[in-house]
Amino acid sequence: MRVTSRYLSNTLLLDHDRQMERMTRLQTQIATGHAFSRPEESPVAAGAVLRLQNDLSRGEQFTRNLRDGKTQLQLSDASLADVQDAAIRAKGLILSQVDGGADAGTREATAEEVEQMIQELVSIGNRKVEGRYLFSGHPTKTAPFTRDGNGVTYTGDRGQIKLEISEGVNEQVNVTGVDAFGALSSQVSGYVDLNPAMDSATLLSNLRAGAGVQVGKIRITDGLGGDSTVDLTTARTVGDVITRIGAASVGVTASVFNSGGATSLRLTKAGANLTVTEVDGGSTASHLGILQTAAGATLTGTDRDPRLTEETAVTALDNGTGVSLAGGLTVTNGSLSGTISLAGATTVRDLLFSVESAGLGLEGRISDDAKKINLVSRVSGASLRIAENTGTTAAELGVLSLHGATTLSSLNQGDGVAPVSGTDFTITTRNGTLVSVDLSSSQSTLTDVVTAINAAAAAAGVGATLVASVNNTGANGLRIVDTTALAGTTTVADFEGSPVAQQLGILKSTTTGTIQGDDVNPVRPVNIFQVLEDFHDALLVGDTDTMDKAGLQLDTVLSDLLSSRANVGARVQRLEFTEVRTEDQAIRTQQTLSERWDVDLTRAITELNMQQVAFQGLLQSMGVTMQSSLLNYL
Amino acid sequence: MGGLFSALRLGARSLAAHQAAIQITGQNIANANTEGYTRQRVHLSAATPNSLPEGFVGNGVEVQRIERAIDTFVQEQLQREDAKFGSLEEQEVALRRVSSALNELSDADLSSAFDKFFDALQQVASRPEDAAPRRAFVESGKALAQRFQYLSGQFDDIRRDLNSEVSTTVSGINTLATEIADLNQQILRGEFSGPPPREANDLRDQRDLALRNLSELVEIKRFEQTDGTVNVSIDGEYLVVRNTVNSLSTTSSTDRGITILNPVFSSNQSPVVLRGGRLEGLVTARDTKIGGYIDTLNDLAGRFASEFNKVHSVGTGLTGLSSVTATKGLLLTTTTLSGVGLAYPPVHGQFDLHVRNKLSGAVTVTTIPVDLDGIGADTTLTTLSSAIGAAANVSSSIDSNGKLTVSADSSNFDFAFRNDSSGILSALGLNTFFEGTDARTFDVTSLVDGDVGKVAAALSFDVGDNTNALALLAQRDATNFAGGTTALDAQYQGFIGTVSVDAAQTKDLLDNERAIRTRLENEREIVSGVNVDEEVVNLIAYQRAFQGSARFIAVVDDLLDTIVNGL
Repeated sequence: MRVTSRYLSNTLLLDHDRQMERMTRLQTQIATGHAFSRPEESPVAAGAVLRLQNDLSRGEQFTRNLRDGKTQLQLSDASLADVQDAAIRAKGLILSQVDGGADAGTREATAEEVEQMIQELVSIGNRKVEGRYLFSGHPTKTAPFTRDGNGVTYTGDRGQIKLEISEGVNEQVNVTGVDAFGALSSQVSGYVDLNPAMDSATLLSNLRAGAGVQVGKIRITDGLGGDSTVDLTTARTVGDVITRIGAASVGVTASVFNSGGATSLRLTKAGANLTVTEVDGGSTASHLGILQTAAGATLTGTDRDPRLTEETAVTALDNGTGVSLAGGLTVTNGSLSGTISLAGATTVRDLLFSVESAGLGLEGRISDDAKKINLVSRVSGASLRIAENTGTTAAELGVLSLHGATTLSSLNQGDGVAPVSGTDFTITTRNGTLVSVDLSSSQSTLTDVVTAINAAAAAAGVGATLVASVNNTGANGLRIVDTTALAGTTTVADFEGSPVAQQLGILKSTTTGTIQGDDVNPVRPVNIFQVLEDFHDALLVGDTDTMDKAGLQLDTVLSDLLSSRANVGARVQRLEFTEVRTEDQAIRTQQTLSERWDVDLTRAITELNMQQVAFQGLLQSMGVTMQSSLLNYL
Repeated sequence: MGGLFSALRLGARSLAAHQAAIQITGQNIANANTEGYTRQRVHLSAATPNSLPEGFVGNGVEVQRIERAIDTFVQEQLQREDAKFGSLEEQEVALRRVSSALNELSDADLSSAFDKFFDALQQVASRPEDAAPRRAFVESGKALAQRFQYLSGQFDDIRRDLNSEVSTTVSGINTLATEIADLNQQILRGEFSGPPPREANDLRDQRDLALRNLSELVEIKRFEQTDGTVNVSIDGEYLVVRNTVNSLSTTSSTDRGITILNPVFSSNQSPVVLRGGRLEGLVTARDTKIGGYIDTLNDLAGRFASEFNKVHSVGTGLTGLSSVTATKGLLLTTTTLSGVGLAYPPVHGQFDLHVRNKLSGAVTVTTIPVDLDGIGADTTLTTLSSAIGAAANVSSSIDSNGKLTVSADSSNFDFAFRNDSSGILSALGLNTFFEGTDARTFDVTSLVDGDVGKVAAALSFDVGDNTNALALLAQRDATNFAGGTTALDAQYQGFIGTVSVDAAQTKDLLDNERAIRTRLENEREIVSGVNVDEEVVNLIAYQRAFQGSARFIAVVDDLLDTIVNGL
């Protein structure tokens, strides 16, 4: 083979370049400590490094959130422990004051101490960390608890504050006044399903009690040879469905049809025999309630049961007949009382806002099953009663605190009514007729009581002039009207020690002919504030019964507190567990990253040395071969 | 038997032949390092003998021909590999620049910017009521925007540089084509001026070199003609036919925001189909490779901004909005919103407008339909504006740039958007965090930059509510990309993967090509290269022969002298 000098230099230069590149790479590896510093040097490993770096950085963010969350929960728990301490002290005080040893002097001193304790608890409830109220829910810049003569009012909300603690997992890190103090623990629970009707603006996602509609295609056949496939994929509202069906070539008109409590879609086409089927195994027609065969010219769907939302129009309630709001509500909440006018409300949101902004310590919310309205008392230490102002608004909305269907067992804060065997109370009419009323366990509601009284009156021959009813206008309570045409006194009296007349709130006498019973079903929050307020008030008047009751309720409060703390503790544990796991993960990720990316320095240096030796050899051989020439010897 | 004069002529012929051989040896040594030079060989042969009755008597030596030691097969292979090499080298350089711009695996790359951005957002979620984390978040958003803009600018710069290289390369091709045509002409003239067969070796060397240089610029085919000329074509279209050149030029067009030059044949303006060579490498790197990266980057930026904005637009900051102006103006205010060319167009749906009375806290909700179902009258910017304006205590207007402004009627009212199923708020840029639809225009809106309280962390009017911040955080894992299959980080990592695999592959191929080329060069050297030692040996041989011939002439001269003077 002929080897020319250019052949030699070409070969040597190629070797030289390669060797240099190798050495440069090793030098960079040693200098940076990484096996590669640009992704293209090792694309697959670089992809892994990018992912691992990403994991690490996210892990750091999660760890920080976990620590922040843990700190906040631990601070909340410390406050709950303080509340628990106070509750235990209060328990001791109650025990000492219901004992025989207490007298007016010790009670006054104790009342003072309880007063201090309430103030201390309010200040615990208003604790701030780094400028944020711990127990306020979302309005973190507003003190959640205020105290006045009426009790302790919670102005925070139920807002959960969450932090992302691992990919896509958010954990609640705050404790609201509701969770910690039971601040919104009792409500007038709505008892009427407001049963809204659909309208064209109703979102499909609200239908089927919130289960929504899986949008797809449906096929409408008219039985006359015409059919259309209607694509509802982009439909968001009932109106969209109606528009798209209406636009289909089959010529069917769709509308909302409300009747008999059901709100449904109705398709019509004169002379047709309508059939709706699913397309491609979807469930759209079924979800819209119109999956029917040979329905004739009018296809009426089944009830779609839309959820009650804040945006539901008042006129849509009660299957589209609406609710009469003209009357308004009469509310008594401790020393607060007033009328709430709802006349201007067009949506449920307006209605709830009117309730909340009336200054009567109320929160209005839609029930969890999204059918009813609940009115919640924000004031601990006060009793909430809701009656009609005029009209039937409260009854239609189902927010009366006492009404005909109220069960006797729930009266008097769950103490109920305890009939004895035989006559429970008597009513003496103006003309002296004695009506004996005997209640038994067969009467379970106030309406039953009314029936029993009216039956007893009839039995006593005054059925026409002595009429009992449940009154809700102005104030709630049993009402007994004596229309005997004589002046005189109508009296309800206990019979042989039965507590029933008292328990029903009708132990009264009157010369006006109308005995208006009390609302014996007030709503009272059960929480530490309410117990202490009750205890405090009882101490001032020496009411040992109430003190006893407060003592019992305190046990409930203590057990609630314990479960709150257990809940917080469990969350702290979960965060700690996640923290440990995240840190373990970080260490493992770091290790993997190191394996993938870090260079083995010893090896790299050794290799560099070897390459250097090889390089020197190459240079030497270059020197020798390039210099030798025949010319040197001529 | 010839006379002594004949012997004298024989000696003279030998002298001339060896002088020629020495000259060629000198030429070979002189050009030992000349690029493209082919070793020349002198073929000596015994001259036609004289026929005498005794037999043939030699007439000495003569130069039969001077030829190049060339292997045309290797030459053609080299030419092919030159084209591949040229293409790969241009691509490798461009991809290295792309990789430098991305600067991935460092702390100053896009993935770090995304990390910092979401990290800052976590801090906002942690403390939504404070201004400091909000400011830090907005700044990290600006850093992210700068990174996108920087990358977009770098990619554009690289493409502009490639473009000017295209122009240089096209004129380089024209120069070489002209040179080849000229050489064709010279070779034709030279080889036909004397008795054949003889080749104009040095001219052919020059032409071979020109052809190799041309191959490196653009892949060509050469067609040897019987008259010694060479025709050259690029994908079937002739560039050089004998001594005429069909020169190249460029036409310009706009591609991804910059002006690019496309090579065409000047004569008919038809595009040059490129199969290899630097020109192909430049165009591929500019349009296919980097062009593709720009598309991916733009999609990443635009789609991320759009999806992030969809969540942001329905949130509320520390206070409600008193006035908000769209970042995107529409020229067609009475055209259906799905047909106005929005990069991320809205769909049929609706959104809620919550107007709050700040004094009482009362909130009025108006549902604004965005009717884009193509049935009946669909929503336009104008009808959208009137629908918003119809809500109590807010008004809506469209300015001369087609930007929608929604404002509360008095300072006692503020408002918020909620539940946007149409994506119109994001598309128009109402209450959005980002603006822009690609990497170049990606930026933080002046709305949030001007007032960090506008960063919409809440879904209510409460300052401690971080619900929307959590929803924004969830955008990191939302599968918004590649047709709803891929999340942000994976999409970006995929992008880096594509770039680095491209770069790595190109570099491997280039290294490979370099080795192949060296091997072929060496094969060419084996045949055509000049070995100085060999030439020196030849030189000595020719020298000795020359000396011998001279001596021969002296002897013959003596003989003549003897005859002429001695007789």
